[in-house]
Amino acid sequence: MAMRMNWQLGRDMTYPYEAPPPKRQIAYIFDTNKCIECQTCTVACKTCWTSGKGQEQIFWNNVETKPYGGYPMGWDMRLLEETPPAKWQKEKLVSLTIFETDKPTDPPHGHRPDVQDYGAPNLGEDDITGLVDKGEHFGAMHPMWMFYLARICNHCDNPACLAACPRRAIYKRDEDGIVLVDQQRCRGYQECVRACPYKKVFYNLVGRASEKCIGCYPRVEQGEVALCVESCIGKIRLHGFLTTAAPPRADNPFDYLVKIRKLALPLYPQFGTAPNVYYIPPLHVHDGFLEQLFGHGVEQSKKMYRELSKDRQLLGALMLFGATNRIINRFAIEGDEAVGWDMDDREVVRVPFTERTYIREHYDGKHDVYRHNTT
Amino acid sequence: MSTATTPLDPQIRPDDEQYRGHRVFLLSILVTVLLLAVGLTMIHRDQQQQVIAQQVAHQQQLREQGVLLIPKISSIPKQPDPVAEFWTAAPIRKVTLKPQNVAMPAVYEAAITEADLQAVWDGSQIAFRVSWADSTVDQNVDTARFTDAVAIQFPLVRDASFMMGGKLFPVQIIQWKALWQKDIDEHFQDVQDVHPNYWADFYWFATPQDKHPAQGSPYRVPESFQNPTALMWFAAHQSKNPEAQFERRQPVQEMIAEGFGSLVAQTDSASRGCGVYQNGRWYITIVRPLTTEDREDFQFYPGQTDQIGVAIWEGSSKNVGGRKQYSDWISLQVQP
Repeated sequence: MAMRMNWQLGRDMTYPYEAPPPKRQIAYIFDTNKCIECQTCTVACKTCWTSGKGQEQIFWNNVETKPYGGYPMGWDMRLLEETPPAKWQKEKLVSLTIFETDKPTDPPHGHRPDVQDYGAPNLGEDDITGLVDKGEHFGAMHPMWMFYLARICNHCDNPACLAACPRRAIYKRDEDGIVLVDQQRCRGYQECVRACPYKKVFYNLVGRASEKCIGCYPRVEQGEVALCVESCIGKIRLHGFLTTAAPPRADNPFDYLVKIRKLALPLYPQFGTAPNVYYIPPLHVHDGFLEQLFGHGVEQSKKMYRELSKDRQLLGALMLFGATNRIINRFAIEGDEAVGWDMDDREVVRVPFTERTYIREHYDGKHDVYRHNTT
Repeated sequence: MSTATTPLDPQIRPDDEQYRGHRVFLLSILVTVLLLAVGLTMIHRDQQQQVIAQQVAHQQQLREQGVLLIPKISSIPKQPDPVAEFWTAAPIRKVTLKPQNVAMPAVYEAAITEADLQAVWDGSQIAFRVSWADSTVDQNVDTARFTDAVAIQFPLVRDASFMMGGKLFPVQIIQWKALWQKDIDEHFQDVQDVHPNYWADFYWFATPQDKHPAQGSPYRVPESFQNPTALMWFAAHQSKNPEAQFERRQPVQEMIAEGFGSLVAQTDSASRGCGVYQNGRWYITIVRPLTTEDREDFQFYPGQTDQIGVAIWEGSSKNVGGRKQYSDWISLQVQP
């Protein structure tokens, strides 16, 4: 057992393998406030990667409704029930991670879903927390709530799937931190399916091996964002890299949003895998629930998000979401625009803070037509 | 007158006394030789009897020591048959199975505690049979669904550990899976064999088959996926993962291991096999040549004492990988 620093927990934790961090770490930021659960991401991913026979129940990307939804069913609730509740002392986790609850020689604590748990991908969809009473009306804050949680593999710093594989068929790439299942070596033991707290490794009964999100690595290698990111019509997603070998850079949108400003938070950090999909928590959901999901930084994150209009650097970084299919390595605010440069330091995007407005004459003399404000 | 005499002249008789002496001498030599011959024969027979007695005693001793004795039979059929007549006469070695609780992931209670191990040879082939009681037949896989299986193991170097060998101490493992048996007996076990009512409108670039609409889907693996583009989504199959063979010829696979987690399929697999489930028991036979040219194969030599290990997986008990029950090394001897 090795001791590894988990920056999300503010402390060292045990992990079966000693390994230096990758050269850079693939990461995503999802803004839950903007997601409308259209599932375009899900379809983009499924059409490209998991539309083969045996992959019918495999969703590397899914969007579920919280609090009741989840795919596979109860993936998080079951683990939360089996593990001690998360306890934070300021920014330090004092409770045990899934690597620490069982005996040191045991695999990470997990539960293996049953086949029926994969039968209803949209279970709990749009369900709110409670019934709407007669005469209920909006009074600044809804008494009941729900929100959409888009989920993919977290390409964790400490992957539980990798730790659990007795064949060492799972590896984390040094060049970008993407976690992959070796499709030649896997013998389908499903230990990874059991160990992954996010249940993002799936068993393929035709391939007889386990499969997981590949982080669209053939695209990432070309400097392009993942399909789920590019296809997002709500522009809720940003895809790029966290700096691992040096202190966080303020001009890297990921370092800035995740590590410097801490606007985007990891999902269930208490499990200890150090996941790399970061969420901007939904403003309308109460802190108690959100702290269970995203850890200690919820209140501060919400405050920042509410005051975005006064925070041009932060707002500028958020304007880059969905603005280009290139991975943005560097950004800056130039005048009234947020500018992004790709991995080759080529300018790839320029987003104005204020959308330009064009006012055109009612009569178009060139075409001899009147313009109407209808479509 | 002078008479010419020759020894052959019948008229001339040799001196009686002289010749009597010769005769006695010759006779006594003859008797001695005869006695010697008889004596030697008796001694030899005695020795032979002693050798046989020793052999019997040795066999008895070996049997008592738990050595699996492998008798020679006239011929092992080409098609492996786990319930062939000759198995009833082959000696049975009872094998105790313990839960694998050394390496993670482990099981702490054995689902199968005992198996019967037998073997025969016919001069060129050697056949093993493992049988055990199992109340459930598990032949399909899915999430949280696992297949029954058995493996036999041989040390490729002296002192290799019975726990799948170790670094520089390789072992050969030959595994049979109930799933593979069903792939061969019926057809490649597809989605509809596990979920009969599962329906998908289409799969990219696949060719629908109109032969078996009643089987739940016009798309069957591998028949509908002959177009190379349609195979793109079968990542494990396209990576030549030995688990993802759509047209399997044998329900057994030869592998090499150097410790837990190091199992690798051999490129050439000379073993054949067959498993049947009868009256609440699995009967599995694995047949292979006594000796092969493959350096990764264990070689059997008559008269030599070797070792074998057995492992069994029980699907309903969620046995898979290291979650299994296994035996210590068991000595075996191919009887010359």
